[in-house]
Amino acid sequence: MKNTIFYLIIPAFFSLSGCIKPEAENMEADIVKVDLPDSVLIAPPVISNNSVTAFVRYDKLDITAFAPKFVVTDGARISPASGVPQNFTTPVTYTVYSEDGKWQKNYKISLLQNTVSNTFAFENWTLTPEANYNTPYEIVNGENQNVWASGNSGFSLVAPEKKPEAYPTQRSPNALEGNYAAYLETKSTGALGALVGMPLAAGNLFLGSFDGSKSLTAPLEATLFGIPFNKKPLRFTGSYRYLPAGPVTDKTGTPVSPQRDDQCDIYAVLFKASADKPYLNGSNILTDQNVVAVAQLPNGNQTSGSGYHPFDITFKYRGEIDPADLAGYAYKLSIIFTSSKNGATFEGAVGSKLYVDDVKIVIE
Amino acid sequence: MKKLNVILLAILPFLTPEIKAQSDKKLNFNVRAGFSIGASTPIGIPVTIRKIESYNPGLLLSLEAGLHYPLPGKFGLATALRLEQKGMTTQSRVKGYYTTFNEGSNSRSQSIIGYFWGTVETKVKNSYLTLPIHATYAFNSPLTVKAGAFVSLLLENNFSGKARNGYVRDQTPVGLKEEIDEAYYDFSKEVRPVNAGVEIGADYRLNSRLFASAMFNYALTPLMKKDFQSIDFDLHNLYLNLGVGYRF
Repeated sequence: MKNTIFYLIIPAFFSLSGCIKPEAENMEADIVKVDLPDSVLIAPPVISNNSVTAFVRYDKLDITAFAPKFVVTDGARISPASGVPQNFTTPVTYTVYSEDGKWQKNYKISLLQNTVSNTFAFENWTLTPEANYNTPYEIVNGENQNVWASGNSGFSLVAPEKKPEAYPTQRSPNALEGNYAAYLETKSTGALGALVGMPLAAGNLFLGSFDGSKSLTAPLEATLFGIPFNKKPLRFTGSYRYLPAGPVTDKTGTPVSPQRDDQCDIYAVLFKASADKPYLNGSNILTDQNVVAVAQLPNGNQTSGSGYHPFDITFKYRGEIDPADLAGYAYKLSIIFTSSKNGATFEGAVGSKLYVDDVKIVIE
Repeated sequence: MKKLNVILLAILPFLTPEIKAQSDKKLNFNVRAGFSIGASTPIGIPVTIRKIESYNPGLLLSLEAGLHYPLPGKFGLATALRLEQKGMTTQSRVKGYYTTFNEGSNSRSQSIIGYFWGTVETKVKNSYLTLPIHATYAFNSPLTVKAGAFVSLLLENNFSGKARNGYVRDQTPVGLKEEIDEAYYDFSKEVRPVNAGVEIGADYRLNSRLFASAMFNYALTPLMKKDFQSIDFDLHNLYLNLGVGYRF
């Protein structure tokens, strides 16, 4: 009798909760890959959530009718269609529509021909929609180059308020020259950040790109340093102002012993890129065997007075440069600023402030 | 769990003598101990859940003191006070599962909200003080069936879990992609303080005093509070309770 009851009740239980439904159509709308012929590429394309940037040789292609091929999320559709020629003299906006038709995403595709300038004035800033933070970009011969990156996109997930001033990396009107300077401030990541052992986010700004998807799992690998550079750097110059806040705390949020003040870091690195290692990242930018030359601020202590302080640092070469490889864009340059020197390992002081303006790579 | 055990131990000595003292022929008193198996589950598995990789009912205890009032004929009325636990641990593979990671801070203000692809582990264990009211029907056999309604007061709440080996997209399915090794959530404070529903069951007399019982209950009220949006489908308690009782 009891068995009978059991057999009556168990099917009732499962019929109410039901079975696994057929898989729904995909909701994502990503550009997964961009196929560009190796012959036209100076550096592989960088794909973010809303943009694709690649340095290409305009002399090797017809930029007014170039047809990149895209791999998108399964079932998604891209418009204009993959393989249909477009005029890339200015960036082209593509829209990816999800398989289920409910979601779409715009990508700005930039094919840049001019290698990056060697002067950086931080005058031009672009606001990332929704997340609402600023990132500087460069204009070279009328071409907008989004070569600067920061960790702001990672911070946007925990940002208490999505406004430009809430982010660790911002623009500041407190400039040495022109309208703006780069302004980096070490920020608290709040309760959520503290629980994952990332209690603070140092302001950082660098030449390269930021892989936001790794900012929680492998933050050192999220910073992809380096943009193609075809000249030999000699000196790294610019102006900065640094105001460290209180004593440094570690990744658990407790002050380090012995107590010390925060320091900033400012450096430039030239390295040889390879197909399997197109970038260096936070874990190897100063130590990798492919690093050719480094120019680093000798000490990141507080600057005196209330104004900017100039710096002029000579690149120290660890090896020889091959002129043919240099001309063929085999080398990459990164310039890196941070408001807390050990910010990558989440050591620093919340409130440390670094202003930087009018930076230059003096070339041979 | 500990709290419930303490309550059980505390009330147990008081139950038996009192029941014996008050016992008369009209009104039957009984005590019943049992365990539950079931789930706090969506009704119809949402399409975002692709595979239930594991399910562990856990040890869910119940203890009740009941009254049975036989009416003329075969019908009767019954009520009880029951201390019970409802819960489970499940692991599911999900695709585009809307959720919130608050890392156990239980704060609604700071959290990652978005769509998750990967493995979600959910641990539910709630303790309730339940008042059922049943109509009963006794067959000309050891069997009595009963059906009715229940209302439960939440005594202890735990609804937590983690997401593993996947990624979340910020806010929308096309938002910023963020890889996740392990991210925790805790919605314990979002469990409704009152849970009510229907139950059906049966008692099977083993001898003049002992009986076996089975009771299936289904909560009509959702498990979580009305304004809770971190999971985009309602969950309902759906449990089978098996036990043995003693009639005084």
